[in-house]
Amino acid sequence: MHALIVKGLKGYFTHIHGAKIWATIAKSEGYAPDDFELTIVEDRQLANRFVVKGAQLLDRTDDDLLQDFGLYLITHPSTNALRRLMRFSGPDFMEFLVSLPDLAPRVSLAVPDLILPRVDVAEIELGFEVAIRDTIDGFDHVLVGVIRGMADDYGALVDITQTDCKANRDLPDYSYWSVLVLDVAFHKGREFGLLGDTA
Amino acid sequence: MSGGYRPMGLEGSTVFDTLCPFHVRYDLDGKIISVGPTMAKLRPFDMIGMHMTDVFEIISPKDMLEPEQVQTLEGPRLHLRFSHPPRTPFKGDISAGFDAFVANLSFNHAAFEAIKVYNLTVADFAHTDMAIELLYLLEAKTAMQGEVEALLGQLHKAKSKAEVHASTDQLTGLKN
Repeated sequence: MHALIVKGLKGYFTHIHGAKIWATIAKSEGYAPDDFELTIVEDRQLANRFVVKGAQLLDRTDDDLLQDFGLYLITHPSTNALRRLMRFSGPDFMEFLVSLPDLAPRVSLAVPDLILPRVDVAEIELGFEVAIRDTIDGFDHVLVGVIRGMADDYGALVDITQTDCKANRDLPDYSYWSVLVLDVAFHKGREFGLLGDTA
Repeated sequence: MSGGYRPMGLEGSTVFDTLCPFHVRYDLDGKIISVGPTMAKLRPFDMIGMHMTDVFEIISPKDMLEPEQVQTLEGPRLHLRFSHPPRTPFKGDISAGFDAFVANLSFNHAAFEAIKVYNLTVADFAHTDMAIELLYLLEAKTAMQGEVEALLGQLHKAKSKAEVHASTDQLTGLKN
């Protein structure tokens, strides 16, 4: 379990649902709200238990909460660095989708010890089928949230649904999502300058 | 057939525009015939028809436009910069065609500065150009450095707190 994942969850609960919710969730595992700045988390299941607890408190499903977390990672001002890094994938949303298999290697370039699950894409009518390996519990839902966030960032109108494997790549330890791009330039999207704030 | 003269069969097509957005194609006299779409954006004037030396200051090889060099020029590493400000430096490769040369240029280390000055986007670069990867890595490293610095700040605070705690009598609240 990478410290960045727990830190991200802490940010999500605090920024979106309030400090009180986060304090309750942290306390349920015996932590103080600010503990995760300095703690190297050895417990690989800790993030999962935070998600389960959070979903229970907020009366949502785990999957729903994880997708919302993914969306937060792209849309919230505090995680703008991540949103910017994702935009380096390409000039439009289609290019972003095609580049999804590069996501894990790219993340490893930046953070060598953060190993994300493998992602494959296959072109289908109107879009792509995205296959996400299940090496991290719930990662597929987080990524789907990220994809939704990025679609809006690029200004694309998309329809994302979980599917059975359609494109003949019958790998059981993957979950499959069809991402239909109804309009690649539905609205203007958010500004992206190559140099961002570092300029 | 001798020297650098070699038919390419590609001249006049748009292949260079697609593959080499930063290319400059010029004839045996050094007159510019065409430039890539991104290269064209970098100057406020139309470079086509101008002489190479009106647009670029040639750093190396100095004599690349001399008639005797033109016969044999093939494959040297070019170093150029714009003659007029902003005097962006380029490096590049050159290839001789039947009646023209193609210099494929890139920004080199000047990429960061150039992107800012010319307001370039992802779409201005060839898909194979590593400049974008370089920018990605720089930004990723900057972000991670921010994380590390925040962590060091927290660590420093925790250490100070612990030191005060250690040097204070728990019962009386007085310094030891």
